[in-house]
Amino acid sequence: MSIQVRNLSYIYNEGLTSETVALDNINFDIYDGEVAGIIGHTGSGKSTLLQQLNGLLKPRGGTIIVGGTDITRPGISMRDVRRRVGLVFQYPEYQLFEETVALDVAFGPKNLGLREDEVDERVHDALELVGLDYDEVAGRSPFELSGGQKRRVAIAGVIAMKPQVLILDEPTAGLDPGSHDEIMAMIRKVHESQQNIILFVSHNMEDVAALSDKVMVMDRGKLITVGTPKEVFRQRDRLAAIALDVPPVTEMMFQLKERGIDVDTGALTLREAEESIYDYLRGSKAK
Amino acid sequence: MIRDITLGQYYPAQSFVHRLDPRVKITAAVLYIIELFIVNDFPGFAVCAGVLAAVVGISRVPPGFIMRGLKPILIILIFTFCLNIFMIDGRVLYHIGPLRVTDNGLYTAVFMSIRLILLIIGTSLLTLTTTPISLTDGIERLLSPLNKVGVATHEIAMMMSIALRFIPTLMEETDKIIKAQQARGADFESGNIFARAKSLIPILVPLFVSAFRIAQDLAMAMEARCYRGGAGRTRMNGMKMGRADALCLAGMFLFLGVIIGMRIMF
Repeated sequence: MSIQVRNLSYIYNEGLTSETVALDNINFDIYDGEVAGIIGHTGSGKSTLLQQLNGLLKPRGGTIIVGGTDITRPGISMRDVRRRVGLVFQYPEYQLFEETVALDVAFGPKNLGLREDEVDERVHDALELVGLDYDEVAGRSPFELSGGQKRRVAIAGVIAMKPQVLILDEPTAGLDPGSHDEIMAMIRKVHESQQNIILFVSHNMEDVAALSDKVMVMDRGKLITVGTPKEVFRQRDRLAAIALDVPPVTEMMFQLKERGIDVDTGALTLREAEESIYDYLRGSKAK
Repeated sequence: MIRDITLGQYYPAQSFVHRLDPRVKITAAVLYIIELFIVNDFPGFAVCAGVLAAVVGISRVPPGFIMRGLKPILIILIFTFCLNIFMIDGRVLYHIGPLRVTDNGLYTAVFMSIRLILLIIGTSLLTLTTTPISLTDGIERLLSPLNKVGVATHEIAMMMSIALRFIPTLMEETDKIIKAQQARGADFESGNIFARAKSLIPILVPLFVSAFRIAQDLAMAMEARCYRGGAGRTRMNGMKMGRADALCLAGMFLFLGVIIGMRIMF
């Protein structure tokens, strides 16, 4: 399973005075089992891109090939597209509607036309996978859960469809630091158990650096850079020009370097920074 | 799409009609409606249509834009036309199976259709040339005498402006929820009428929850800014009647006089 996007473009309100080019000739590949982080400022086209991958928006031009099938081809079954590609929107807890958590999570799998016992099994697995206790929450109303729990239920609703590509639009937006860490750990766990492709949008560069194999940078409808977190966050000044940060640890290393301390500015985690500073200190002592 | 409906929409422009006091415009619209119901013959409609055309011209709202607003009403128009043309007895002009077209039926159908069209264009002209805020301000001021008998006019007007303000917000919210449920494989297009009605539940429940959440947030934000209802509240831009407003009112009453005169004379 892989994703190939070629010459993808999209225009909002074409022909009207409010016409805007939302996606401008986007090209990228994501390979089997990869996690891709998408960063970019508000209005850079991230959400539009995600909706294209799920068939919710039809591109103006270009192709999107998911696992060998062109999902932009006319006449393709949308049910088939959504079985492959699961999309979790921003603030997904606002889409909960059923009487019980179990029924809500079952909504997606039922729409796929699965048998009842298969649906039940998937609901059970998805809830456990997002870190909720099935026996405790299954029969409760989703509206009486806490904010973080509601979000897990909503994410479980998409995971239960077992998509080979899971897309999450700002999965941690508006959560407290504790819930934020739990959701990030949950995404990692889902990736490990499902072995799927994960695409996620985030404004938290630390999360992007920690989780992604590939970072995609968007600016005003264009995909301006694709690379490993190290390759992308090395370009601190280029990111700053489009109002994006590098992870705090990397920022610290850049500032140390500016003050004449020769450390590795490619460090993305505390561990890497620690090693680089340690090496520097040992080196300067030896002199 | 829902966005194409121009009924109740505001058309921003600089014109004599746009600058009129909202109270005058509301009064004029009410007078116009009364006139349409006083009229009982075609020459009367000709006068009304003439006045309406003149006002549209002065307002600088493109006639095409107004016509587009008529589209959603077309079904009601066709429905009333058919109902009138087939249901009223009189001299039979034409047969279509069991249906008969009579002279009285034809006359009433055409008559009612003209009245409906004039009614809709006239009233939509009011909202096209008046911002929702000044419209509700105008209604509040016009209703203010009712304050004395215990009607909470300020609250009614505030409710109206809030309702108008949140139409686009709720449309956006609906759009988001529809997409989220589609991403979960929801299908709103196929199945019979019952299946389709049932498929609306995953949209309506979250929409209601969102509407209550938005309302609660708004109430809190208003209280945080010490909103306590209409008592003792003043305005930054008070409404003042000018010469143009007086002229317009005089014109409307003259128009009313002509219509009543025509009715009595003929």
